[in-house]
Amino acid sequence: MRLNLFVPKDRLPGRLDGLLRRLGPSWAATPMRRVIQTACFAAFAVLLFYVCWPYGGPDVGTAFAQKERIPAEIFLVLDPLVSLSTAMAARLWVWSLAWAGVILGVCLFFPRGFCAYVCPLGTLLDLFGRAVGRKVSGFQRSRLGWWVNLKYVVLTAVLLAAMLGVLLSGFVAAIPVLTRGVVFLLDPVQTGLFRGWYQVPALQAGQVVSIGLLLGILALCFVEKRFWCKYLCPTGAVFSVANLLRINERKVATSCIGCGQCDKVCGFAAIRDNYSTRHGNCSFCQTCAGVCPVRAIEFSGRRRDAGDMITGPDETAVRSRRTVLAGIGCAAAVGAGVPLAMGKAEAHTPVVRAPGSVPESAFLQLCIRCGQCMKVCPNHVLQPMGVEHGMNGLWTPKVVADWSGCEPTCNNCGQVCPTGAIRALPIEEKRAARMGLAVVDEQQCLPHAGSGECQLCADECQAAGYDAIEFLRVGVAVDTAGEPVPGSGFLAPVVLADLCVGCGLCQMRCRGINVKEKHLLKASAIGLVAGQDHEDRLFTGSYVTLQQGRQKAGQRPSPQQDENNDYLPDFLKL
Amino acid sequence: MHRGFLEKAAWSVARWMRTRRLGVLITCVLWMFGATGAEAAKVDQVKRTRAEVEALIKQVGASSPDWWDSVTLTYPDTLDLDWPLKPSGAWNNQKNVGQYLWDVINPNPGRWQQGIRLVHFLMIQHKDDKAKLARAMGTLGTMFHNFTQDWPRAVFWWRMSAQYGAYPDPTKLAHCYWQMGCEDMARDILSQIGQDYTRNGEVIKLWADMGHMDTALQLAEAKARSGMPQIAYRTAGDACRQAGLYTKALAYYQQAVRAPLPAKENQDYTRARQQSQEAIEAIKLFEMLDLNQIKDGVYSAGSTAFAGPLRVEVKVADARIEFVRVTQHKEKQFYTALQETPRQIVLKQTVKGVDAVTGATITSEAIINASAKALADAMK
Repeated sequence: MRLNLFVPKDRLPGRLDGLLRRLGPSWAATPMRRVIQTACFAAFAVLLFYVCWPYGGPDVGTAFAQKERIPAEIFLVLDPLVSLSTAMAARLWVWSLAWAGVILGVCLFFPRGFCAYVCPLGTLLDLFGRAVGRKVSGFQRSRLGWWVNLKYVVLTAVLLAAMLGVLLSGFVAAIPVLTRGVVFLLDPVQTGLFRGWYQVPALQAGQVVSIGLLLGILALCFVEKRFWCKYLCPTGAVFSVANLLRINERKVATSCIGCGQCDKVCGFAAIRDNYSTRHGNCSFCQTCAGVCPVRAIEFSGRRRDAGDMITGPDETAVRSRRTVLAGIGCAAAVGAGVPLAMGKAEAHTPVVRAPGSVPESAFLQLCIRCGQCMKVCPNHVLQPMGVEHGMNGLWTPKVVADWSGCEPTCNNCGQVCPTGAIRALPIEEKRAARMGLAVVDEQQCLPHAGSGECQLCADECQAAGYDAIEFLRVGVAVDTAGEPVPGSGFLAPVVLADLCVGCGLCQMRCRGINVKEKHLLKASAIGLVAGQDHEDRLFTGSYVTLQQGRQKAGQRPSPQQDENNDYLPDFLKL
Repeated sequence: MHRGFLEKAAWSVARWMRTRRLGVLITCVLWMFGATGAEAAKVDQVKRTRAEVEALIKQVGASSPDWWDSVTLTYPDTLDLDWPLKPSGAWNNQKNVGQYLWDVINPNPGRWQQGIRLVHFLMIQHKDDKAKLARAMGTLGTMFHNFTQDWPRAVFWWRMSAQYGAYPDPTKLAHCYWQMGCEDMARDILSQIGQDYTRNGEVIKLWADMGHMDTALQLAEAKARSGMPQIAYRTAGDACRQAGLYTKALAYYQQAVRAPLPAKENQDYTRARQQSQEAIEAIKLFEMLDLNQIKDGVYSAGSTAFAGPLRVEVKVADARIEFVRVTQHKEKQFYTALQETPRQIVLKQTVKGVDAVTGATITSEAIINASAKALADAMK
């Protein structure tokens, strides 16, 4: 099968060729590839900053659902390392594995084509590399060094850690790194500009680290173009390994004149010294064939005999046993060492997670730390954790009810989660899924403490439609006859544990008014707690059913037997 | 295959099953409310003769309300079902029935039907103790009256309690008769009573409700002279306000605010004075608002919304509200209210009767209040 998508040097009509050449030699060589790449990059940006901007509709849930024509997390599920590593870590079937299968299948025909055509991080690096490449070419040095096979070491470490139940891919896999970095960097800007700067939560150290990681990857372009993709990216390494099964490949005919044009344009260090192909690296971008003056390069079936082809040894192939052992040693040290160093998740106080999150240990194994849920969460209820719970929790989403409460009309976070760490719940299920439980601090709460009337939390709970806070009259004065004095005491809030889902709207309001606005309290007098008995963390099954069961069992007074079924008992019948 | 079609399909099946079940439930609930609603509406509008009212009390009062079987008997295990006539020990709302009703049942409309069932259960429990029986019946009548506006049942149980030696409140009985459509029966009782003896001016209020404004206001003046001016004038103000006599209402409310409070603190009086003050503001804000008296211009005022203070600007030109604009706010959720409520105000050309946006009630009300304040200030 021939899959030649490039345009040979002299084939394009003059004006079009001129136009494309102005864009760059690679545009003239393979316009199709650049168009696809641009479209994918634009789609990534639109999905993240237009679709995952849940405002402007009748409610935030609908606003997102109406805009989401294609899955907003599509690029994340297309990253095969995301699904591979999460499935391995949690030992669960992750649905995005099907997508990984699709992209790996396509990449049998276009070996490593994901990197050249689809990956938005690759495109960003192309753009950035082009912008800085000319200016700082002095930094660039010899292409081949000890680092050329580092991506395999990274991949091995990630997979080894996943086998030991710890998810490292989120820190290094291409799409999560990009998504998270971009969300942390640009979402505050978008929020600030379009909704007001008071809506932007303060930047945490964890976010700075993530942004730094992305900027660091960009900075590698100073060394060499697409340095990250060539030598470090573990997602790319998955494709490189898959290239062993490639159906098509790049071939160079012996008519090659050795001009070196192909080597110059190759962004993936895929050209050997004799201009034949390093198949593990070649991403099928076909730019080399487009610039080849003698049309010596073609892309066709691996087994197809196309006559005289250049072959030869690969200079980057590892021949020294010591190097292999060193690589394996490094991978093992990181892959096994990090899980050991992280410790157990249960050792910490439970975190309030998004509604529909799976049990915590599995959650940490499934959460790829992409930040997509935080992007689509209205009002930034979900915010990234730092290292307060060690590396285990870094960049995972937590509910910050002091900042804002979870919208009753919104189920967006589960809809965009690429790995099922947060389940994609229908809205009525989400409204029954407990994130935590609101607990009233009776020492602080104004009516409970006898220091004033206040029913902010109860009003809010009712307005949100949960009706999970009712009143108890406290501090009643009694007159001399032992009768209560009407109007004495205060109506104090009582949380009904069987109805409270832990949305945190009560906490936000108490804090917003009593703490920040009126300075009556130091902290919200009602706050969320997570942990067993306070939250529903399920893999499957209905939260509505669970809630109904809870209400039946109930922590309220239990139903009593009423033997007198007659409304009007015999002794009163006339 | 996007995010697991199996999970999605499972949810759809589950939802389908639930909606069917829910459908049945909704039908039941609608039917229930429809029935009571229709019953209540009929009772409100229809005029009845004495004989008809008596028949209604006998027939409806002796039967259980529609919701009876859907509510289960519920109370804390710690409750002392003996319900002694005088509770012993310190105030304990988990032990003493009266205190449980006061602290837990009364403040929560969601528990009212539960409370009625509990008291009904206790009444039967104490059928052999005349005093306790009478008290339970009287309580039952009061609950039907106060909680569910179930007039025939309230009268039924009050009359029962009287048979066992209790003294039901005649004003409340009169109120029921009037609500059931027989003004004559109500007037008989009220005429016998004469002066308003009640804590909150219920006699005055009932006269006013029945349309006898002169009698009501005379009784109010008498009550004011007898040493309860705050309550008397507040009630008179309420009566006038309800009849649409806003200037007169304002005058009464101002008298209630000006009248001196007794040296010994009385919560009823303080509350009546506070209510009068609030009523004055509300009338100025909503009822007496007249766009014709407002000069063209942009007026601004603030109120407290969901997440903090909120300010609006209202532009009035040619006695029309041109626009309402939220100029400053800290709201995070509930954005719909920020556009929808101003739109409603402009559409209706008033701040009165503007519906709060569903799901954004608090923000909506804050915008309405701030707009009303801005316009009221502009009238000065």
